[in-house]
Amino acid sequence: MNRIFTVCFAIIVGLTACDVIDSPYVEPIVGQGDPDPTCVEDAQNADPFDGVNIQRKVLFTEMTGHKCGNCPKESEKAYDMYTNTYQGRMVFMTLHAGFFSRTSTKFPTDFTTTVGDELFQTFNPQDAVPFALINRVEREPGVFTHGTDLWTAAVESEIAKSPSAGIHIKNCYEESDRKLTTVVDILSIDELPANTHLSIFVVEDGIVDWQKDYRLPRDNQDIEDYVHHYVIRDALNGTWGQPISSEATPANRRLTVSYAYTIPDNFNADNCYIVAFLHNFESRYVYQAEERRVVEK
Amino acid sequence: MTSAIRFAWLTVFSWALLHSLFAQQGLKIGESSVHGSFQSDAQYYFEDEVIQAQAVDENLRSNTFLQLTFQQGKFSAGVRYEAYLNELLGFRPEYRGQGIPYRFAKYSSDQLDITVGNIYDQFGSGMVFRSYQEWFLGIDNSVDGVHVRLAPVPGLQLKGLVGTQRKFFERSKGILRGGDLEADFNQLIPGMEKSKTRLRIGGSAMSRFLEDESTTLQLPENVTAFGGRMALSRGKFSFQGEYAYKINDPFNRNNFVYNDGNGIFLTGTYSQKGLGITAAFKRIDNMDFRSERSVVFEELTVNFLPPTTLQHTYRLPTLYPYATQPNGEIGGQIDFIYRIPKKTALGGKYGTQISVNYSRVNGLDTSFVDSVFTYESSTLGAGDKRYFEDFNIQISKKWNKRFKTTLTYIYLLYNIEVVEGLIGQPDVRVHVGVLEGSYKIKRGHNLRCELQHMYTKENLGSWAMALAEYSISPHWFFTVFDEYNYGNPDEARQAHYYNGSFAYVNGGNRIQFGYGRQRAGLLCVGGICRFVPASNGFTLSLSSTF
Repeated sequence: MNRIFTVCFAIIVGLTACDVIDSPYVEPIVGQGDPDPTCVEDAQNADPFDGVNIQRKVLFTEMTGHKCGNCPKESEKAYDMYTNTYQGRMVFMTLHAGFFSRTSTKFPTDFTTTVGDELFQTFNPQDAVPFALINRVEREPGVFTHGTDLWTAAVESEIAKSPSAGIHIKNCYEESDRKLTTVVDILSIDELPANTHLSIFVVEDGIVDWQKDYRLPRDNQDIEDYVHHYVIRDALNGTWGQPISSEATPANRRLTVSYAYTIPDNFNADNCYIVAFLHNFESRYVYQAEERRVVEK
Repeated sequence: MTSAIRFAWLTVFSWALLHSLFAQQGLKIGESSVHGSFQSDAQYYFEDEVIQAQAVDENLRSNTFLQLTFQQGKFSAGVRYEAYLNELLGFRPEYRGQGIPYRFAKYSSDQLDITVGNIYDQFGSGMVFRSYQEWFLGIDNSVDGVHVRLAPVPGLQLKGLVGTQRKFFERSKGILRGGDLEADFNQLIPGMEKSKTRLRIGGSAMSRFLEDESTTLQLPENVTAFGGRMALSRGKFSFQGEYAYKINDPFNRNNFVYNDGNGIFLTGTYSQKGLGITAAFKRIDNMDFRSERSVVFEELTVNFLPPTTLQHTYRLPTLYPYATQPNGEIGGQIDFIYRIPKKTALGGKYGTQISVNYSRVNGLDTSFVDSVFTYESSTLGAGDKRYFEDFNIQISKKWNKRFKTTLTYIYLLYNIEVVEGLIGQPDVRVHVGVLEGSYKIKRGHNLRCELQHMYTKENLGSWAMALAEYSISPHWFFTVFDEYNYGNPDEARQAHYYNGSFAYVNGGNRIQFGYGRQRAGLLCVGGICRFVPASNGFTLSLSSTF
């Protein structure tokens, strides 16, 4: 009998295995892929912050959906803030996820992404749109979303703060193989805590597709040629980015990280932008944000 | 509407064809037999601004399956066809389409079972491993692989499996490997067969391999959960206990915490004629176990954490159902059932049954020690945050041969922030009263009525409900009910959720047709929940087992 037990136990143990991970849990920052060495070298040899007056830029993430009939009115307001009122001081992205972003026969384009779904699940479990994240500020305990009536005040409040860091993006795009090298330079102005992460997103502007709009007459609320602005399409280094260091980054430290990325065929590279932002992985708060067109005009 | 009529005809035709082919006994050819089941649920949707229900472009959507099982002697094989054209609202859009996601072949004898294909199984209560299907929740986490059960001697059973889990119409990236050993000492030890003391002991392990693709964190590729359990009973007493442990498994649902997980589940029961008492205790700490790291809701669960709260069946209290919180909770339940004997002052001519149930679940007392990655939690310390509390009492009395009533009172405290993720909303406290009466009009004809009222100042405010159900057994059932959310703080949402349906049942076949409004909320089965959006429309449901 003991032999049977021993054999049975050995079989169960043999089927299983464990990998116990001890601290430190974070991987060192190394960038990704196979970046163009000339592009990286050029970026490293230049000092993009030399003589530059670094200003605070606010990351504005609008949560929307192509079947959300209440969204176009608020999207226009957000887009106007980005292009007019706070031009140059705001980085703008639209996040399509949740119930109102589902596809159907009339709304066949799937604007959802893995990164978008994870952000939506984290910041907007109520599945309510339109809402916005403004520097991912936690305006009440556990509440990150801002209704439209709060947008202006929240952006004003964030812009007024002094910048903790500067970000500069250099893009080198090769049209023949759609390969992009992105070099992100970071300059810490204040000491940045150990859990500061760098996130790199790809957004695409000017996507013409269907959108529901409740402002239109009841029988004609589905617009075929609606222009969707700055849609989050992908993340180069995961939903939550990478830690820039395993320990606190002292003030006046420059870091350079490079990434290689192939622009998918269904993205219009001419309308794509790289958005980079530094944020606190624990509190989610965004310290600084920057954007750069993939193909400079 | 044309598509709705076409769909209804097609579905009814298929159902009638299956019914005529297989009758109720399945199809028998010599020593072989084919058995199966069929179900189709369809809904025609209307837009309804009052309850915020959406129309759909297709107008009509449906979920359908047909499962066939072939058996000859010790060999069996089966397939299940599923179609989501398109999926009913509230189901995951990844189901959209059709296919055969389930098939298996099995050899079965007293000492050996071998199954290849899709496997459903469970080790103990499921804290280490459970694969199952729940059609109404849209959950199917069957393991596609190889499963072997060995019973070398009576009373000893070993199970082992390896495979990948079903992920809608695809398979998960993670590979599961595990085994379970269970010994029934009353069969295993000579002389204990007739002992009043019954003892079973088991142990299990389940490991998942998943590549570390993260550029940010160092993630474990092999994660294993272990468990041990026992069931002991003697006379009127019985006791069951299970402990499970899982090594570090950071992923999006536990906020990338590197703590090891553990869970304990204890149940004690005393029962004698007319009296039953059950007490249960559970503590769960970081025991969410999935076969992939990026999951959104309830897909790809490797284990199952049993609930220790009562699953209410009356409609109004089901607005606030409790779902197990796998990242951490501690709680317990006491259940008391007493039957006042017949022909006593309180028991009356037929006796009276009283049920009292109390359960409570709190969060754990935890504090983070290393930034966001590890926390400390006291072994038995409950946190201050109360997740759920339920006190309910039910009295059932039969007054005469025709008439019986059930009176129920329920108090619930529901932490809507934790259970539904509605950040910033206050705890919901509700008081529910239900009066149910059943009157047998004549042989085969029965009328059942419910009056329900739920009082609360929070969330959607108070509700009232009335239901009448007339049944002509064994074939016809007619139901009408109305839920009225008269206390909704938004006057425009003080809506009636009216509903009417009828069903025809003949042996293993059932057809049901209805129209009504469905309120938004959580639909839960066994402590596992999915969100159902509000809807307005016609419903058609066909089912058959043969």
